[in-house]
Amino acid sequence: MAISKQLLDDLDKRRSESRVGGGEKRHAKRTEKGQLSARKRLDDFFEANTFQEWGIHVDHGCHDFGMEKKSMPCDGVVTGVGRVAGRPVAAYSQDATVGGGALGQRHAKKICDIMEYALEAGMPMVGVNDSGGARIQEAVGSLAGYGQVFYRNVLLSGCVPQIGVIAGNCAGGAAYSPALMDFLIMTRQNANMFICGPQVIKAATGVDCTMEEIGSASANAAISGNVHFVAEDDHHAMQIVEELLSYLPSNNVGNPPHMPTEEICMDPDESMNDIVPEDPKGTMNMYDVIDRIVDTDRFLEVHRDFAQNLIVGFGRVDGVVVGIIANQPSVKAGTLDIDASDKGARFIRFCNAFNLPILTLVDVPGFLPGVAQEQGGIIRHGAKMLFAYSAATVPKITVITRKAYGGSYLAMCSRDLKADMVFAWPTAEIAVMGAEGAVNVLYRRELEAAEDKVAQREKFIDDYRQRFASPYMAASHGMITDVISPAQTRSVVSLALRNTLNKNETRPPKKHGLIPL
Amino acid sequence: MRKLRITIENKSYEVTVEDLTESEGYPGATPVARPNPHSAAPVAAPAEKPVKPDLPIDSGAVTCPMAGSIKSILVKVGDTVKQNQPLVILEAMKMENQITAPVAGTVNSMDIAEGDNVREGHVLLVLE
Repeated sequence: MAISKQLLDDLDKRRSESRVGGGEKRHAKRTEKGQLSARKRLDDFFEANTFQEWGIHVDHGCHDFGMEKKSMPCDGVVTGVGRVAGRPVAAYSQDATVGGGALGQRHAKKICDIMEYALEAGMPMVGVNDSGGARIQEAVGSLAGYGQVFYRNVLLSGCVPQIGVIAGNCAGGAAYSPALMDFLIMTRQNANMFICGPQVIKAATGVDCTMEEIGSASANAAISGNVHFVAEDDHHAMQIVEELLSYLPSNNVGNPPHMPTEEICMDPDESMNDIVPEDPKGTMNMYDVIDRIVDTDRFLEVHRDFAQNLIVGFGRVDGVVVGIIANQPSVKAGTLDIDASDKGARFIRFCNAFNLPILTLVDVPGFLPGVAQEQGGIIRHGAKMLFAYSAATVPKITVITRKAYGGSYLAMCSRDLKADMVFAWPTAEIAVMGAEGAVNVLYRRELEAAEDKVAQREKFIDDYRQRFASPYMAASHGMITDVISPAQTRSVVSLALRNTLNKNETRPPKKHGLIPL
Repeated sequence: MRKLRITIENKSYEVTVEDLTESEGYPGATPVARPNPHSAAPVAAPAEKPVKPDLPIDSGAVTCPMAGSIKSILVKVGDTVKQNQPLVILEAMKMENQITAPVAGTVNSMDIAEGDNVREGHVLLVLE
């Protein structure tokens, strides 16, 4: 009484045939280029022996163009659930050795099935994209398949984290599913992402361009901002996903994986005082400040190459996970421009959706002046920062390090946008506008009448600076929780975060607010 | 976990060092390198990978990131510069901004003088 050996052998045979995908030859070619197979990418990512595959026996159902004679193992995509750092994570990984990884109807159904499961079971969704696009032989069937995947990307959005890896070519529709996810990681070599390639652009507009300029990892990461992380290779890409997940809850109902230390270190960090330049016009490197606030220098920066005048990323403070948003005064003087606003607002909204406390570090002289900025819609884009911060109900802690001028001060999570606590260094300059500009407006008549205009102007500027370019005017209005020395920053922030972790703010119910897109 | 004391410029710091290669739940997760345009403070900054320019710089032109006035010029034509070396101080947005070399090279030409008002995108100098 036992199951027949033949049945078991048949099962083994079917499994191993499917696992080979498009054949050894194709795999070898990819290995030469330094690419991992679709399966190896997942093997690398999940803890050993935890991967439960879904639909290993799926094959295509196409009967046109001679397809009925061909087999497509797994229909070109590996899907399933595995464990990462002890937590379940759902994933799909497209197999470019099977019909170029092109998406057919059953391929799409497999992706949709695993996405729905991720949503219902409340686990992160990771998609490894390596696909030539829609499977032409299946015609509108494959087009519909893409639509179904997009729709589910939107269903999952804000409920479970969605992370996309671009590990091969992703053109047209294949680029839009990743674009609907929360974070994109792209490998430096072997991957391209674009809607219209160089040939199409040339045919339509006559303009010559290279793939490097429009579709490469560096173009997507540094110029368009479509991509959040650039990985050196496939293995590194999966490492970044893993590191990213280490800061995120499995879903929007759960808490982030805080690992609070038993004690909060309240000792001052004198080295922070040394970072602050004596001259208010001198540049400060905000990374130095961040590194001294987060635990053991570990800061996972998001969008590192894009809009570098604003820094965003994840870290822990005495074990508590925070999303950090910080002006970078050493790039474009730390001004907010269109790209920085988009980058910041997107990150703030992610943090809010997944219960991640927000720490804002301010050193902002204003919005970037310029014709391109005005015509590009800095009003509409800058408004996203105001919207995102105001809409966020997670703990919001703000530290004003130096400059905080005008509208950009408000846009960096001021008290008026309901920051829970706002701390300011003694070097903070919180004012409507800079001294030079303010004096020109306030003392126009006096300056016209003055005998020595230059000296008089200098005097007015000096007076204005003394009175307004400090944290104490704002503090006297009750807009600042406390003025602290830079050395106190880490301990003050840590304590503030702990105290605010149980914050529970509710807002009037509505379908959704209308962020100015 | 190991406790260490580090002394930098006569100031001592007590640090706890945790060996992440063994105990950490996320092995192999490397801190992502990022550009460090220039460190304002002489304090021990975390070691960082050298920054690779992400896009090919075809012309070597160093352009002005925003409108402002040239406060001072720190190099002259013919000088050899290192990557990230400050080239020009641009006064703009209440700040004295350092414009640094995106790549190492030699200053080939320069089209600015101290006190000039420059626009965004203006070619300040060309590196070879």
